[in-house]
Amino acid sequence: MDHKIDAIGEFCPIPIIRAEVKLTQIKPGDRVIIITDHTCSSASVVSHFQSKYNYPCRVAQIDEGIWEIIIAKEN
Amino acid sequence: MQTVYLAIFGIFFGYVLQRSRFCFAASFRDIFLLRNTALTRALIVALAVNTIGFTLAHFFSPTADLLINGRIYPFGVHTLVGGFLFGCGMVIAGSCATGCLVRLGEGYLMQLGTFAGLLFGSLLGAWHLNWWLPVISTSPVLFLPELWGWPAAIIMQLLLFAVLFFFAVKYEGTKDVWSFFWSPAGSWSYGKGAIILALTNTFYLILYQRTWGVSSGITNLAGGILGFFGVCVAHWRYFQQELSAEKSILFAHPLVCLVLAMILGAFLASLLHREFRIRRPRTKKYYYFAMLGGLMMGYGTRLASGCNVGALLSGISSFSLHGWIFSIAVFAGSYFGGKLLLRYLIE
Repeated sequence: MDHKIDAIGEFCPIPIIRAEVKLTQIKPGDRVIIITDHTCSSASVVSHFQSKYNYPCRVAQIDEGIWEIIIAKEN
Repeated sequence: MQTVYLAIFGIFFGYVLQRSRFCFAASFRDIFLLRNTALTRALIVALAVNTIGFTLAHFFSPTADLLINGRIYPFGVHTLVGGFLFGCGMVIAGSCATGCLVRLGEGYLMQLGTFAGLLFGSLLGAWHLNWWLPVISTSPVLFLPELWGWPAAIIMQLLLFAVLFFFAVKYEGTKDVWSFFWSPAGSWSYGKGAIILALTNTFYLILYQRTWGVSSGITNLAGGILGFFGVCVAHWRYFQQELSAEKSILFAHPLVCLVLAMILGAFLASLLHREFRIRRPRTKKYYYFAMLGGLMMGYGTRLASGCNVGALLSGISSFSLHGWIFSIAVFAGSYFGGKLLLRYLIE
């Protein structure tokens, strides 16, 4: 199941903190999808969950200055 | 000619900061809020490269003598108070002084608040500096090579970086020690940004005979704006030591140009990579916190004689103890700022 976090207009590190909370609430195998317009978050979210949690992440720029980051919660 | 040099450096600094997403504020803040030290480790690498760069410049470039051209200032209570205010302010304002310039270039409206706060705060700090002068003028100045000799100072400083790096790795518990050299497609890694910034700061010292700084440019811009409205600040002690009276008008100080060029550099970087966007903050509350944080930072920079760039990066790399004292205070301030962020800024 996908859980969407709309983080448009939020500044670093708020999107990461919200995603961290969400990831503890969801089941393994679920995904969190963050939409952010924060340039730093487009890198820091991926870096955080990939290297610290080993959760596979994918980031795509979906519009000028807007990114969609998909974090998959693994067992 | 000097202005052209500074504009090129400013644009380059802004460009590199935007592409690498390198963030001084996060190097402190994320330690507490996320137990993540990726940017902390990148900052330590920047400091190490910059220290080596300045040392080589000192010995091999006739234009760079750290005792004259380095950033060596007294340290004392004022450094601690200034650093604490700065560290706390940068967390609630969403960026430090340097980050604010980059965010402005990328189109963040929130940082208009931070910038206004920075301008106002640094004016307040410059005005209130007289009150602090008895403290500052009796504070010690410590240039580490003078204390220990060059070989010991270099070894001690690099050793300290290594120890801090080790602690950062242990604290986070990461196995991926060099993770900050990785980046998602379309941007540069933090590590790449850190190394380029440190090397550019070294070239800046050699060519311009000063070290990279941001906050004095912001203060002089604020003084210039006030002068524009007919309020003359030329007789303030801060502006007197910076330049002669007739020059204290908008843009007259060379570092004002550097500050504005950094905004331009970040703007160009984001535009060229289709990342520019006018970004509205989520709530109005962000503006208030941005202004408050900017105010704290602006005032803090005048006490500590610099920001994360001038006092921290350039100060430590100049082997001045005030840089280290400032960092410790910023560290403590960002812990407190993180508490405020969790309490008031997260819904």
